[in-house]
Amino acid sequence: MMSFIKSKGFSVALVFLTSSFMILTYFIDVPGATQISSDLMVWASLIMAFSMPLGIVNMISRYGNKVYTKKRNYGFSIMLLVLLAMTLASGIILGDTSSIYTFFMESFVWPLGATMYSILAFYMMSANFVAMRMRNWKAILLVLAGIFVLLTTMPAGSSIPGLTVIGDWLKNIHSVSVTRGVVIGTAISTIALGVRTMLGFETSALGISRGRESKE
Amino acid sequence: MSEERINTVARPIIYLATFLLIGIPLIYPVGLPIKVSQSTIDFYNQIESMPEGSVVIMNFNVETFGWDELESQLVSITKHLISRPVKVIYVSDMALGPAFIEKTLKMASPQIEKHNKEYGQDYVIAGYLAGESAVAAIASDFHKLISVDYYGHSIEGTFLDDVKDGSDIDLVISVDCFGGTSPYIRHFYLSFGTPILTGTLGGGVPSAINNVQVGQIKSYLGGIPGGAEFEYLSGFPGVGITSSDAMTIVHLMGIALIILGNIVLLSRKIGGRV
Repeated sequence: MMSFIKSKGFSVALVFLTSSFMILTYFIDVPGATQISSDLMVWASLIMAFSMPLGIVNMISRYGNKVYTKKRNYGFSIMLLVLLAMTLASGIILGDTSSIYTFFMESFVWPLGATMYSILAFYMMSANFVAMRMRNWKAILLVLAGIFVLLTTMPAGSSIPGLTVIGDWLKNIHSVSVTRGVVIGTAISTIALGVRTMLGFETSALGISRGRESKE
Repeated sequence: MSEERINTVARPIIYLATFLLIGIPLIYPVGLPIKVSQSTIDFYNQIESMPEGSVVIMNFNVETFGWDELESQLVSITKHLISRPVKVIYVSDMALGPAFIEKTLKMASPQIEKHNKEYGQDYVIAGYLAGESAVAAIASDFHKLISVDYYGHSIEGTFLDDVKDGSDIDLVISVDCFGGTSPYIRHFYLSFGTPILTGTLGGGVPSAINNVQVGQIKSYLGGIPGGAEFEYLSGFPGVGITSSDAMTIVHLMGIALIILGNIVLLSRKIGGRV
């Protein structure tokens, strides 16, 4: 029985039936079926929420192993695990609206996240000087486009006469046409991936590796 | 001096100049001009046109790294919503999002007091929605997924009693770091025709324009400039307008550095060293 549940055929059949049902109930209003599809969506949402504890287990395993084997810079892993344990304990025991949990968030998580993002500004400024040099005609186009984007995206840029008109033309026609191509391409690829997963050609989403698949 | 050496010497000077040119205007704003774009006007008008008692979902698709760029949008939109006779459900599809909702509402507390807005009757923090399936679930049956608010209190007796599914939502506003608007387009706009507004990081603007052109969203705010324009239009000046000066100055510095880098290249070419 257990080997049947673990088999690729069972997983694929389950995915095929569930996804076919969800697709049908999205397009066709079948009495009674809407209720089941609504239940399934709640299930999916709850399963998604389980990715959090799974992530924590994964982090403990990964960084715990680094500390255990005393890999290079393992001190940072100790720091991460200690802070993880402290934040987790304060959130679970005292609640995520408690002052200690809020202290961890406001004193560590938020400033560090903001810092990581802000550092990009320094790299970008440095790249403007170092990398944006007109060595050939392709680079000239890139540099001119870069200057134009900087001019049109700065808040006071809209006050420069004519710039808004050209900026809007570039954004609304050229930039959007490329974006649309990417979006349509991604959508078609997603459909193709979905069909392949439903038919059992794509098994990585089911947690079945190629090695295991070939054994079966 | 080799090109490599020039770059190495210039780098710390550039970092210091960037730090000063961002920092000084933040402390002493210059007051450079801001022109309100049509997309911001459309965004503002859409909220203004919501009739009394309308129910709005405000999604905080925000993590720590996007907060600084989206703060002006989130705070000014929240303040504007509070000033309107609408009911707001605050949700987030990011794990840290609810903490940012609380932070934003704390920043908007003078407006909450001024307009006598009451938690439960005028607004509710519904909390974290885990992924697209959760958005689909609340569109299909709101109470099946959400029975308690962010603080763990039952939502019974609040204005959410009248919200059964997506058809009871009159407007969705999603301010995004990671494409949080797309699930709302699929499960609210496509299923119920719910109007959607989005706020994005600067890099998300082309995608937002695309959605506006095909009619999936009504309008958008883009990055700090969008936030600053909305602050100006809604009459709630804040960090967006202050940051605008720094952003303009640092953009001009970027252009100056590009020109300077090319002068270095040109002078080396003339000198026969390239």
